[in-house]
Amino acid sequence: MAKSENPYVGQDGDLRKAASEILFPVRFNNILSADRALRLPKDYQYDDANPLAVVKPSTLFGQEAVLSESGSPIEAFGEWLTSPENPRFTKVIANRLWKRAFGLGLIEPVDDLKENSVAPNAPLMDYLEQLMRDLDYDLQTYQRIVYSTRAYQREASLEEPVPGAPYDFAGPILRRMSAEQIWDSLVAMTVTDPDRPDRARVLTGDKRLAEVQLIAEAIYDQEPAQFLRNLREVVKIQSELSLRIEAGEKKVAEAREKGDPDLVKQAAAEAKAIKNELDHRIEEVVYRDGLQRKLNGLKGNPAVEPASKVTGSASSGETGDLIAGERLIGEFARTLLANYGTFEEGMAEVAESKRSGIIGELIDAMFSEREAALRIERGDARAAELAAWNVKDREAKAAYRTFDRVIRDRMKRASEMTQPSPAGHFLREFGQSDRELVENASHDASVTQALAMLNGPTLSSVTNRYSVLMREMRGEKFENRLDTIYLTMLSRLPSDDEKAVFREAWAADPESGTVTGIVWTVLNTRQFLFIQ
Amino acid sequence: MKLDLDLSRRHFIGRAAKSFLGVSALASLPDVSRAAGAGASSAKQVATAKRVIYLYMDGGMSHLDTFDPKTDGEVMGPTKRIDTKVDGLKLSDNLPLLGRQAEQLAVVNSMISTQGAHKQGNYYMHTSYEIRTSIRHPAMGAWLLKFNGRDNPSLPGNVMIGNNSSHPGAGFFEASLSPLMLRDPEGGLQNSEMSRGMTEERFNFHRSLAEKLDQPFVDRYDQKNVRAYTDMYADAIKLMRSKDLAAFDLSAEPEALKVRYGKNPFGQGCLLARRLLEHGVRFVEVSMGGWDTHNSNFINVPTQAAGLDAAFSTLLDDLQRRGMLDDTLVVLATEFGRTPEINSNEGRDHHPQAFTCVLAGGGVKGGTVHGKTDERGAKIVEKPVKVGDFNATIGYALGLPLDQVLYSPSMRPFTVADKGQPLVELFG
Repeated sequence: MAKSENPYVGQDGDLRKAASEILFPVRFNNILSADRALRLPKDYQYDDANPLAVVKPSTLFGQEAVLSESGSPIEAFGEWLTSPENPRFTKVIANRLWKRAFGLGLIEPVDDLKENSVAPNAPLMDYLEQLMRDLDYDLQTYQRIVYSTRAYQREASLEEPVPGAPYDFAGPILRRMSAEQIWDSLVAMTVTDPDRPDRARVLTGDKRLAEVQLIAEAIYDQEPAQFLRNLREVVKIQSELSLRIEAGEKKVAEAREKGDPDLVKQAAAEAKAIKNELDHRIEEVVYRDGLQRKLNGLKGNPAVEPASKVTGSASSGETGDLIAGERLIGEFARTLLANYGTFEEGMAEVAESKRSGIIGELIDAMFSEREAALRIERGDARAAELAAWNVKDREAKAAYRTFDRVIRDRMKRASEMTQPSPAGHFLREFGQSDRELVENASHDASVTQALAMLNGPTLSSVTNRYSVLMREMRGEKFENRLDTIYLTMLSRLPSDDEKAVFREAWAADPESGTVTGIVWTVLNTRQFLFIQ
Repeated sequence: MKLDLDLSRRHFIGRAAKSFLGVSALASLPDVSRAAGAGASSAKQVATAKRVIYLYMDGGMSHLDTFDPKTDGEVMGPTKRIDTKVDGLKLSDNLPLLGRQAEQLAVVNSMISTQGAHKQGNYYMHTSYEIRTSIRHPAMGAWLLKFNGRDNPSLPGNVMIGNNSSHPGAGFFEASLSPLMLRDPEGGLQNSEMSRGMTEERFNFHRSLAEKLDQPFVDRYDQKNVRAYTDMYADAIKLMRSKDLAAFDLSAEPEALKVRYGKNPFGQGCLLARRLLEHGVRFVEVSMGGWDTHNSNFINVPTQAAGLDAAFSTLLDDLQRRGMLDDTLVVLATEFGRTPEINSNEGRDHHPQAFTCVLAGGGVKGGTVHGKTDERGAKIVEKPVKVGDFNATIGYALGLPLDQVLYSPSMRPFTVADKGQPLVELFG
């Protein structure tokens, strides 16, 4: 295609293209807030207002929102939304927390309350609403009260609620554990500290945020003239590369003529590599320039002195206060000074290494202390376990390796994992919400769930000899082990009938009485999945 | 017992109300704002298709560089138009193999959608309804199963091969109609074999032990959700023991055929789909991404199209040789097309105003073109086909009742293709 026919060619178009390339990494950083009146469209058809009339903020129900001179509309909205006088606010939360305890709300569905939504047990709903107001929305106390009721403490009702018909709350309803509850139960059986936060993941998250932060600082502090100069530089790079892209396209076309799929793939890969090169070159030209400028500005600043040991990043806890404006570039400056003699040397060293681009290098340098600390911590924990659990022979060591590297990595609490999990994961199979809607979890049964419980890796994780369950197994006698398993998995001791069933089974087949076998058996009962 | 009687009466009334259409009890609900099923087509035929392979091109496949090529050089860039043996049916030079099988294709060049964004367009194409925050609609596979049930009770009725976390699945229908999600067609069905060290005897022994221990619980709580787990466990074990599990194993296929389909997830996915259909699975979707060519359209489309060309043409040929093409509907769909204007990144942007979808087999007349776009492929000039109409055509091929209303648990009425009107002229 002839370039001259491209409507985007021309000064403005090229500059705009260059600008969008440069600003791409920080595209989520800006919120446009226009302080102008909202008006109806000029072809407004209805009788209730004129076209182009100003739309004043108003509320759908309850009281009118009060707009003060100084306050913003969003603050007024917040006040209205959370007001104890708002007919929905208190009702919704009181209802939802009731559902959390009993498995069913007083009004269903809990996320679709309407003007005419009335609980079949209206006095109870009113009481709970008032209770919530009286407690000043202390959710913990509200729940403590609900959990202390006799109704809650009864076993799950035998009566199955009928959709559309009122339910009497003789007790909570029988409900299956949510996907997260099932998974977390397995995690609790396997690892000692299921509530431990996933610090490695937090670190990765912080690094990504820091990266965007650095780029933003590099760009936004530039003088307009400087930025324009950089744009022109990028335009030059882009036009140079687009010639190569055109050549790449030709190569792809030729490869297709030849009918060789591998050649096509190769040509396409080469073309993509050109795009990567563009990213790197922009980084060099634009960001580095901005960062250098920033660093120069910091020179002579008493706040920036060579750090002797650990920079602020490692010791400021998991989340850290990294994302706090000027502090970030200051951190970076300190790191540079600590590791290299001067800023210039540092920048030069870092720029030399082409591994992950300049920004990547900077981030690695800034977080190296924290990463090291994490590694040390993990190493210490490992050493302590090896000693405490007496891991000596080869078999034990192999089992420990599996436990430490595979199982512990996999068995994290649902809330510590990326949400939603990828399709096919245990959590998704058991109905974890895909987050496409506000509440999209499912408690339905499926074949793949059954397959996962029957044949999946959950059993080997839970019965690895270093799992909590296995280490807690008390006593030599199987009766004691049975007690441990039942208490762990079903929160009760086995009944005499159940013990008899097991004894009968062991009598028929003495080999069957293994712990693994019993765990598998209980794991695949229906009562394991349901909350009674 | 009196309690039981009251309970069973309530059960009956609840169930009866749900199954009658437009009954007064339901009409009094404030949010049933229109007569149930109004606008849906009453067209119905004896099914010409028993099963479906649904090929989904994720990202918005450029119609101009595939099934609706033009002659305007400015629009087409380096892509060329080629003739086929079917008069009036022209394909781009990115699809040479399909070009040689044009007599099997019914190309709908006049698709039109109201949704120009990926998530919304994808959902709309899969369900015929726009995304709402209050409900999840079922995709076509779930509708088919809802009306016609499964062919093979030991295999899932509905399978999705590909990578789509936000697939609508069974929507508000029961979870047993959900598609089985398979990310890797060459990896087989996850967890379908007993874990290492487990023997058949051990397995059965522990299963019967679990049943015995569970009996008091199951007797006490005779509820739908408990029974569902009983059923699913039974289904799962049936599946494990089923000879049909071999359907998931591609190693049984000759290497030459695998190469023809294409040694990539989409090609192998199509091969797996054929196998699953042979074993009684009714609806298999295979998706292919990489079509969102805002950048380097003329590099990326030929690459993707090469994969599509090989897999689709081989699939049609394979189905025909096995005598399956006449009662298997093969669908090629995408959420929207792409702009005739080439942007500054040598790419094309979203274009829902005109695009192409394709049908083949299942009683559809091959070698046809339905609808037409203008000389730039920008606007429709003949016979616009809405997304609902396209899905109604799929339903029509399957002999589904297009105006049969089914209710969601929240008592909202839905039909398989909303108000879509099927393209009956595509059928012999």
